[in-house]
Amino acid sequence: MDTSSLSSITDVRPVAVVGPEPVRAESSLRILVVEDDPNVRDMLSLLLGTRWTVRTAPDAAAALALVKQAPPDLVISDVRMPQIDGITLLRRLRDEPGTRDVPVILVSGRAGEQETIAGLEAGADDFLVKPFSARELLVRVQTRLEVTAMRRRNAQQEAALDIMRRHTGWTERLLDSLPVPLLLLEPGDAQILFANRATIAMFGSRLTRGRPLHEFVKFRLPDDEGGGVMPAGDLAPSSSGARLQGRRLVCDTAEGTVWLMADSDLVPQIHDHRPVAVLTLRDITRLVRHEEELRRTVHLREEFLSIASHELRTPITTLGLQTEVLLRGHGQQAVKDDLRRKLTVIRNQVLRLDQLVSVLLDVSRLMAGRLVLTPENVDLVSVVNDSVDLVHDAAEQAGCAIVVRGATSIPGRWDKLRLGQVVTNLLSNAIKFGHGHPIEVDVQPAGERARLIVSDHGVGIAVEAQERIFKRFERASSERHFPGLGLGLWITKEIVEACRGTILVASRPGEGACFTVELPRET
Amino acid sequence: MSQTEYILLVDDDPDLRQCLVDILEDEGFVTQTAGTGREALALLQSPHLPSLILLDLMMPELNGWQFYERQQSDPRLAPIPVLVVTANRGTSAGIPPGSDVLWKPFSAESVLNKVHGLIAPTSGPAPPH
Repeated sequence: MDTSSLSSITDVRPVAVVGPEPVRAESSLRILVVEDDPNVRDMLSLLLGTRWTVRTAPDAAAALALVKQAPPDLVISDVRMPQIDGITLLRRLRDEPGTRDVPVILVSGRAGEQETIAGLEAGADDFLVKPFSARELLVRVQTRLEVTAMRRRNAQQEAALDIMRRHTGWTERLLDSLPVPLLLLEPGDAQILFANRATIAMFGSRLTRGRPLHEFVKFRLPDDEGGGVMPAGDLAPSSSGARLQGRRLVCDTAEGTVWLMADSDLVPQIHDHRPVAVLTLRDITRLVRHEEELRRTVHLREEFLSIASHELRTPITTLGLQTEVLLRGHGQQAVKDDLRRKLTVIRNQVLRLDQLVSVLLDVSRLMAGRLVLTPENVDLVSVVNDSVDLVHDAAEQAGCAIVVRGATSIPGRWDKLRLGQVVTNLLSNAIKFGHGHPIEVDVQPAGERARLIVSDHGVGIAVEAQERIFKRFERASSERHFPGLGLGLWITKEIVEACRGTILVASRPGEGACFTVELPRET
Repeated sequence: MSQTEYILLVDDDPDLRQCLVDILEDEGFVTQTAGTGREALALLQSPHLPSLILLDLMMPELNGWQFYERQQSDPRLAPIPVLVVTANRGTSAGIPPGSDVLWKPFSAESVLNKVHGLIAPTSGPAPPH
């Protein structure tokens, strides 16, 4: 960026930068009169004393001593004085840094050209030639005091500007050290006031201060948001304009298309700094590419799962059906006991295989956040009865009698398959951990909700494990005693929550566990 | 066969197809099979139409969705009830609207229940032998 030809951020505007110096009362301005002639001295003192504070000195030495005490605002000195003359006094004042700028008016008896030239060379501000009128004296002194005051004000202003330039320089260095591209813009039209080093690195050095940002780079909305060009007022909000907050934008650079996360804000006028819009542009190109890749991967995985589920389930179906047909005796021929036992084992293993496939597919879907519910009119009680039928054999083998109590019908709108899965999972869990003990299922309407309670009398769950059991791959008991993937309750909880329901467990070790599910009846 | 109404099984898996044939024929139904949607459409060119179509969705050549679309757009074939047999629970492709579904894996009992429910009483199965 060509910084030399341009003003800096704060673009110093003298009037706004420093206020006028407080005006000192006229009477407080000090005038030192140096005159060896006591009559003239008194006369000057009298005349000037009507308006200003006057001190007098009979010679240059006394004058220098007084000046040292307190520098005056103006010195009026006679040229011709014994010992040190007025011109020498003037030179001494000009040599001292403390008095260099004190205005000096020389007074001479006659208009000697030589004296005048010598006085001007030594740095006199004005000349009074005797005789002069009181009016002339007062006008010349007043003029000189005014000029001095003005000069002093200018000097102060210059100093203040200098401080501000130094601050500005410091601020710019600070912003340059940020790794994030940051621009300071004129609110509304997005004229560039400053662009930090990271911005230059991104967009190149063609960015020029004082020119609108859109002359150099156009920011577009992503295609899926319409692809429109971002207006200047959004990039550089004025007081009424909306700010950008983490807005995704796209722009073209020499490196190719860049994705940005843009944030804009307005820093209002603070003291003498005018309002300025701040625009930060974080490069999220890599992130966006990763996101795209992730989406593609998830999609591919979904495709794969869909195919895998088909491929896995078809042989499981065939295997299951064939076993069933054989078990039914395939017509009239009775199946021998031994063969029946073996076929039963095969059928059970096929069922287990199918359950494992279901669990794995469910986990994949839940992890991808793709559980799709298809609610229909369902009776919860009949779903419970179906699930009880489904686990009947397993319950019988485990010595668990299942008792269903409560309402005879609870209609609602639920995803039948998923609801069945919740009930079956809770029953399977109760059978697994409540070996040899009865299991109670209680189904009740609860206002707008339906309540399902599954209680077992098995090993129970320690309080500290009760939260953990709903997490993935977690179990309350050791793997050796109770095999399984540790996913059943997690899946159950995920389904219940997808139905906007709740699941709770109450249990004490050794006293069984009681799971309570509540589901809204209308989803 | 040409005189009797039958069930058309459309599935690319020959073992599952055979298994279903066994179960349905055991129950007294008459069956015909096709390995792809295209094959099934060819069979449906015949004037003797099935009372029910059991349709797999994922098949080579003409898949189940494509077959269903063609079948539904043909006024001669559209009235035939379709029982979709699939494993793709919860995937985006979904079940063709208007069809009934049997999720894999299923039991012999559930397939027979569905079949009995879908076949109109007038075209019921022959009594078991």
